[in-house]
Amino acid sequence: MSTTRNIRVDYIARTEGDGAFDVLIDSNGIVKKASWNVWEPPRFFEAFLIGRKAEEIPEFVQRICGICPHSHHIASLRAIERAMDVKVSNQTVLLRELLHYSDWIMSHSLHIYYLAAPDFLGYESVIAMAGNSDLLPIVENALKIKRLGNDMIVVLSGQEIQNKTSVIGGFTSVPSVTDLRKLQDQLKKMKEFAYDTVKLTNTLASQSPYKDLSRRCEHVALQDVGKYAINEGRLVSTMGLDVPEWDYPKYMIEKHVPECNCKHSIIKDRDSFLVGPLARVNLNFNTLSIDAQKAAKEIGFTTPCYNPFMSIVARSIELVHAIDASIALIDEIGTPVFERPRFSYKAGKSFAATEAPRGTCCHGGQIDKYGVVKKWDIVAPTARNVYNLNKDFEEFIPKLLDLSDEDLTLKCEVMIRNYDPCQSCATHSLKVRLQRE
Amino acid sequence: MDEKIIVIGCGNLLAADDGIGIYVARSLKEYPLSNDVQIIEAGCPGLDLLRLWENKKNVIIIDAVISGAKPGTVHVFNLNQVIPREIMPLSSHSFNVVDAIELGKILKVIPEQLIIVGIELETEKAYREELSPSVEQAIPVACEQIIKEITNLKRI
Repeated sequence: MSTTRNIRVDYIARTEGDGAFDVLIDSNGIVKKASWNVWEPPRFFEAFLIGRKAEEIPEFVQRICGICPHSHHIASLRAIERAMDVKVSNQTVLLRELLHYSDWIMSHSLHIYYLAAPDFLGYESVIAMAGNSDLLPIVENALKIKRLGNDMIVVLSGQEIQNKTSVIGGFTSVPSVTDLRKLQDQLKKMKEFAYDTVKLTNTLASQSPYKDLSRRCEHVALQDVGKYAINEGRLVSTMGLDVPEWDYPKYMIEKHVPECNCKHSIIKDRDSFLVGPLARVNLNFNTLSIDAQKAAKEIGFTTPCYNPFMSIVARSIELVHAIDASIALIDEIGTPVFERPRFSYKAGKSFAATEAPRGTCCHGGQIDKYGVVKKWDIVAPTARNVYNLNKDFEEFIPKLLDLSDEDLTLKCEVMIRNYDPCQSCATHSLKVRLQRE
Repeated sequence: MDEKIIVIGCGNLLAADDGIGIYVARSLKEYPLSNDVQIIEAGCPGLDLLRLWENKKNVIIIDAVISGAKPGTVHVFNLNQVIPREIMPLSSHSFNVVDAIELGKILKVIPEQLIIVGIELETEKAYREELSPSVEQAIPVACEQIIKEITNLKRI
């Protein structure tokens, strides 16, 4: 006799920040309610930035997150620079890209090996995984590759996590060519492991039931000219969106919803959408590094891929790309030369976007002629994805009703972790509740 | 192998008593310590502890403890003891010092001597900066305990 099933997880593990999910299934197997609730308290960043000076904004906003600080930092820098008409050198553009790729390497490796892989391998955590001697080398290398991301940030910015050197107009100090070359050697050493990771994650995501689950939704990402978009580009989608990044407020619409500290996002006149590695790989496959494309082709990855459980594979493909791109950037930067960052205040309004490890990160606002911020808008990628995840729940849970409550709960958690959510950023975490009638 | 004694304060200053490890690390700097003692304020490092203690011989961790003891109680653990995982606070990715020790042992990235000085908290309420008086009064007690542990480590 079937009964109501209510799956509720009040603290979703292995994600950043605090969130919960709640699923109610009636006796006919219909999903009556499926929601991911980000309940991390709002932090009012947008409000307390009002009245601050423009140069303080990139400093403050990189404190939003410990895992993607530079996604916020660079988006805000670029919005301010566009508003105040500040031009930066090519070296600054390249150093910012390298700085942001360090976030990608750190964040992608943390997510792939530590947060997501245990789900697919059936382990409670990475520590249990390390207890298996076959998997131990993976855990050891995972630690090394994540550390490499941290080391890159130290070289580029003088300290771990948030940077001290990147400001409006450029950098207050630049790394030495010797330190950059040392990083490059380390990146070359880690490349093979990243390449093998694509095969590993593909094997994991291809197991039942994941390989048969797919849902066609709009995928959105920045698209740059001649290179994989990370710090700038046009906003494009699988459904024909193609607009300048600074027009994001016109096309990416946010609305408040009850029970959730995070707003829901839709594309104007359409529906929920997905941002992140899967969307980027789908939209920008041809600008991935040659070896990242090769790794994808070897496993038979074809675009567009609408299976959200393949996001761990997309993330692995991007890890290869991030290493290749960083190696190439270090060559292109050569011997960095100190250039004094210069800017003057000018009234203006603008918006900009970057591609955070977990998706498109939007910043922008209005500055007066004294450089005082009058308004500031921040939309973190997880905030874009919350509504889309709720739609994944509605689509996939009815297909998984034969599973036990315990297994179904795990699958719901995996669906959330597919997004590598940063719930702290989005509030603007994870608990699951499954209820069956 | 780095022979220095590394003292790592852990905690979140924005979550009330959870920040106690950082407060103790800061107070420790007021004590006359020899040059071979290095103090690190680590925030909530989770598994990053492995990176902080790699190649270090002697390490002391200061962190909050939630065991049900009287708030302000100073606990001392070492590597030979089994520390119940649930009494140590978690990082935002749900890892804590016990996880770091367990993974460190498997990966053989573990100091020869590792002491954990834990201070029982009263509340880990988020978005509160100050310590509870019961926990604040434990700061000098914890510092004295750490000085003792440093002296012991030097003898080994």
